[in-house]
Amino acid sequence: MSGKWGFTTSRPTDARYGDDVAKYAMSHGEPGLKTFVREVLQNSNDARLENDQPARVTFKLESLRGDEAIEYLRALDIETWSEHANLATDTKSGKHIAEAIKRIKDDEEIRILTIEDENTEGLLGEENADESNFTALVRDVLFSSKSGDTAGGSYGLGKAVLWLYSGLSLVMFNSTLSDPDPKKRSPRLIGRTRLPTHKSEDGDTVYQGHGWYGSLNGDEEGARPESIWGAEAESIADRLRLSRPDEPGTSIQVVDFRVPTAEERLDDEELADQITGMAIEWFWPAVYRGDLEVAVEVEGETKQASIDEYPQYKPFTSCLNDRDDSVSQLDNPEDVAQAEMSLDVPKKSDGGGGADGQLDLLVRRADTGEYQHRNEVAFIRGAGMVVEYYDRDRVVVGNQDFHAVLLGGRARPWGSDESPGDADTIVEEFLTAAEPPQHDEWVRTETLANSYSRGFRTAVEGIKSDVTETLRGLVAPNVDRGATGPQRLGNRFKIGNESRGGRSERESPSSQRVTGDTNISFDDVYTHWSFNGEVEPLSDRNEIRAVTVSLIRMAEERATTDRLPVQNISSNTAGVSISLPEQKGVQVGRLEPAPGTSKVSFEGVSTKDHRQVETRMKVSVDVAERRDE
Amino acid sequence: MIDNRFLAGKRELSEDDLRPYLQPLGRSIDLSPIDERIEEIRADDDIKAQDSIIDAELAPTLHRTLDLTRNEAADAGLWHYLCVVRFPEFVHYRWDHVFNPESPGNMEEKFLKAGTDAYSNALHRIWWGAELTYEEGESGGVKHRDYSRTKKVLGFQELANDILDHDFARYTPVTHACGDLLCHDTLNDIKEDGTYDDPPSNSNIVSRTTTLLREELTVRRVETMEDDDIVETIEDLRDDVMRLEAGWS
Repeated sequence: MSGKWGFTTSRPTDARYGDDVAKYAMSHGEPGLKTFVREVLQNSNDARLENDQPARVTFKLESLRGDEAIEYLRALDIETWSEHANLATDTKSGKHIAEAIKRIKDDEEIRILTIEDENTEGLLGEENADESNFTALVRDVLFSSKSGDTAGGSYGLGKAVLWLYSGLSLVMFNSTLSDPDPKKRSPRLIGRTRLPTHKSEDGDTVYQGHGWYGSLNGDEEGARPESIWGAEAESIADRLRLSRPDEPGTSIQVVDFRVPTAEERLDDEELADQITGMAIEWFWPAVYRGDLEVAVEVEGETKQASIDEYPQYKPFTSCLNDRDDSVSQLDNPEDVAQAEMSLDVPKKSDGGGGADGQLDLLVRRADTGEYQHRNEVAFIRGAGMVVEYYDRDRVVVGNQDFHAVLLGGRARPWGSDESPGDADTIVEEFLTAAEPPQHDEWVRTETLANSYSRGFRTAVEGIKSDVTETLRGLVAPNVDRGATGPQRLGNRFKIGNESRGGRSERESPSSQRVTGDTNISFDDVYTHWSFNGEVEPLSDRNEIRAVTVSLIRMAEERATTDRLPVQNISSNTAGVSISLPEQKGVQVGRLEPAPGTSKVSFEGVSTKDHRQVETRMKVSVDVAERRDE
Repeated sequence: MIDNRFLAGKRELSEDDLRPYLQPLGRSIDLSPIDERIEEIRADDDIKAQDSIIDAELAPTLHRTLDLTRNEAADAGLWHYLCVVRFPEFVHYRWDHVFNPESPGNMEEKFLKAGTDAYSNALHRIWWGAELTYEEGESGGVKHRDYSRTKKVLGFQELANDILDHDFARYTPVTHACGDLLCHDTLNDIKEDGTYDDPPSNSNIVSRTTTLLREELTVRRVETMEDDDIVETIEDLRDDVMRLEAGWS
């Protein structure tokens, strides 16, 4: 008994797929191994059953050769699949697939990666259900139906990653269901391939490109094969090296596993090390809390990913461990201090939600020798994944070195006796919506813009500056500003300048008399640059008379004289008059504060920028001696 | 030693004067073809002193005669010697108009810059202008090299400056494309076709297009682009400029 491939047909007028939209959305990020490991573990972590057992995930790497490979490919019904793949070679991704087929033939070897998880829900759901684990993972492209609104993935792009890492764009699934609905006869086996749209040899039939491996009911051309169940599934799974323990969960097999961006094919051992390393790097919170276990199996040998083996993450887990003994001042290495930051979550567009939320920042003073991830803040919410490591090196000149953890949503009380409250749940939902498809930062996203009312932007964009401000209070050196001289300290302050694709900082000429922070980033949703900043004079004797913000185009080697117009600028500093004058024919933002104003903050946006080349913000500040009012 | 009197052409420095500072290159090169070519150029009534045509006319001979590796050409001392000791009259003939005793820097760099700065030193600039734009002939020999693009680039001062002064010049697919797409011949042909209502001057087109290209290269790497893609990118930017739709300010 064996499964068969079937490809759905479409009318010639239907949309054609050169490739998979979701694949593009993901690969826009970084299709290295990191994306894969993060997405796969997040899928399992989110599907964990609600008990006190961890979700257990095992990555199994195998390279099949000779008879083993032939037997495997036969069970995979590779002949039918190849017929279609060969008809689809005229597109770019089709060519890649043809190359992969050739490589497998030449090397007489095929590498498969099977990811087996246990204590997770499994592929629940009817074959044609609108919303279920099954349809989400196996069928839909851009929808997500993870349990609750706060699961790690809220875009449903995670599974698209799987196909991107298969040279043949082919992934097999075998699942033991946690629930007797829809069928009692686990396991459930199905395969899925995503080929470009192609025509039959006679040109009469158009195949959409989506193919399924399963049991075909009847001979109808273009029908979709359905899942194979029970004993039959078990026997096929055996031949596909996809057998799994009798525990709820899913085994996913990426056929011809490859890392799309890798220049060289890594050997199995190296790959295994990288997977465990990344699992700990991004999921140490879930592992530490006992919610997730990760192992890698190569040639029958299993290696457990443990935090002990990656001591560079110990300073972060110590933040949670020692939270109960936190101190108010970081006097000694390994001291942990905590601070609260407020996060005002606006109401949702439908009127629900909204809360005076809170994020907790735990900061641990680094010990000598703890170099890695030093001066970084790990952003975490209830999913137990590190969303990003926010580098705050030299947040203050001469600061004490530290490691920090920012806990939000249901993760906020971690390490204390408290339990998450209603406000934490609202924050969790808000932060989830603030994660882009790659889940690697908290920013303004389309989901956020669509589901929350005014104020969401200030809330999400204020997180990083609040972290910076709070850190300054905790790790600043004990320096009396007046005594060391504002000039000396001021000369070393930098006006930050965040450009797209990375942070960069440079000295600003006005930094000798003012200090401040600036940020500029490109907003893909509105196709413009958004910027914000805050400036204040270093000396109390001075006040700010005017702030001029212009947007400068960069060239390969230095700034050009080109400017991008400022569309709008606003300030929440009281009494600031705002104008948009032209400088050399280009609109700039100008703020003139009321007499006596020292600190001025502002935010604004550029006009639409379709060129999207590197752009920086220039902030010129007129400072003068304070007038006696 | 390089003082205002030297820069004004009132004092000469001989090989003897500089003896303590000279180092042998390790091989001997007969420079007389360059002398002869400079003589011919100076004798040509159609070529005026200080014209960029001088660079264009000298380039093939200079580059063929000084058949250096790029490594050798990166040695600034070589160019200092050639400009200060061997060909100072040529430097004056080509660049005297930039000398200002109040700020002698502009003239000084015609004698003294070089190294990674392909723009300033009078001879270094011509050599690199040729190196980055010539085409190898079929034989691969020095004699059969084709310098027609070199002449178009160096003969158009704005184009030569906009190419040589920027990082993208280090990648010949870009310098070749800029030379072909932005030289007077090409721009004049496009203007004659009448596709664009009121195109800017050729110098403005060159300056604007190369600026937009440099901006584009903050988010793309030329080394990863196909040659066709480079050509298409520059063409698109040039067309924007000719339609005055390129953020003209």
